[in-house]
Amino acid sequence: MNRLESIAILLAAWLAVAFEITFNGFRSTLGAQFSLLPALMVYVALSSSLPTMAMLAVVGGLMQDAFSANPLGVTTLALSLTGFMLHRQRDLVLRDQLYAQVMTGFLASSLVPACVMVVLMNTHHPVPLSWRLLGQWLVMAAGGALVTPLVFRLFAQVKQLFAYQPVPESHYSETRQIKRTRF
Amino acid sequence: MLRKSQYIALGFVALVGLIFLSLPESTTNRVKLALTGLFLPLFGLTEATQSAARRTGNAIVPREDLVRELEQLRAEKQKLEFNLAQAQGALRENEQLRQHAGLPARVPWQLKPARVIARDPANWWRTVFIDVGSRDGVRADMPVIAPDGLVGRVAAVGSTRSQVVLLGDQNCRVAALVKETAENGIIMPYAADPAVVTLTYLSRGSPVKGGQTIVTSGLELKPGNAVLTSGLGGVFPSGIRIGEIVDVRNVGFGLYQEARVKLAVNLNSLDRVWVVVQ
Repeated sequence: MNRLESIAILLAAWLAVAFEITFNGFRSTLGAQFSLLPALMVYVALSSSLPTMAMLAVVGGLMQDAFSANPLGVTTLALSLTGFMLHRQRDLVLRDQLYAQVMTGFLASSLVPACVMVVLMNTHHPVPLSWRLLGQWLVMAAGGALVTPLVFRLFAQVKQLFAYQPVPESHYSETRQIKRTRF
Repeated sequence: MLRKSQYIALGFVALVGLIFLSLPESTTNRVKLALTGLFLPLFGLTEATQSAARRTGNAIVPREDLVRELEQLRAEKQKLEFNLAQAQGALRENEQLRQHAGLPARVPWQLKPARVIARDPANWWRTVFIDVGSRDGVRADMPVIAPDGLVGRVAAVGSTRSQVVLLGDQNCRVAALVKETAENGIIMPYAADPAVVTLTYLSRGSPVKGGQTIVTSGLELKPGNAVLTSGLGGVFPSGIRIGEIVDVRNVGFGLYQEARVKLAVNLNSLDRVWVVVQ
């Protein structure tokens, strides 16, 4: 399941980036595009291993930066930082609870763009801060918060699909022997 | 505490990020364009889906609508033929006058049609990818236009794909002029609205001539004035429509004017564009 899960996560990252670069609906209506990679990173950080998380940060970050004017590697750093922070606290997060998923999704989706902005401020590609950017940041965070529970449910379905089916319980039980007695 | 394997993973990711961040821009652009190749199946699928949807749409349009549209197009074609004949006459006249004046002849534009295949996932940049590249004669810094006006310029070129920086991005500055007053300025991004750009460094009054004083009213520019590319800077040819002025204000302690310009092209719904390859 581990290898299969890694492949599923990579495929999900590909689909997430494909959605972001081709679907323009949110940008037209809400003025900002959601990023699905932070939501995916929340799931991976809370449910999967560290190498899988590193793989998602590298592959997902590079794929996203390839279509962006961001310097290559900046999203990788932001995703990995967010992922490691969540991974370190994973024992304290009730990851099966809906509100925990929403809150971690909100946190990750606001932290990733913030980290990217901090890095951009220190490169030769500074982005001017504006109220519009703040609004977009909030939309991204809210979008990530809504998407994260869906990611958890999707991967629960995938796990269920590929995991071994539980063996049906036998009706035979040793304690149910008929003990023959004299009477 | 982190275990040893965790330190290794953390170090590995940080190293990968920092290596890519420190690469020179030309190498980064090449790596980026190579990475976009991972999404070729997506682009093919999108194209196939769109053409299938178009075919389905064409199949279900009623015949009466098609006939009506055909008649409209015929009438429009006749009108455009008259306009073309007029324009050709004006062009010939212009060439003759240029010849008499000793000016070099204007080179007609060669346009390469392209389709927008991807948009920048980051909200703070305004770039798109188009499906033509160096194989189609596209080079960096070539202007990209749409029927309504200027779209942007080519920033990076791959063999079959190119990245275009749109108007309103901070990496796309355009030398522009106001058609009615011939005031020169520079198009810069306007952060609050993606459909608007700023035309800045406009002089406060009309040009000073002998015996004239500087007009300091700053009211020469009016809302609705057309803004075109000026041709200065060598990247964009002159006369491409950018948009129209929304309002004007004095900035820099009254040293110069700044105008908000509403873009002629809706950059949010770009689908087909043309690269000016010559």
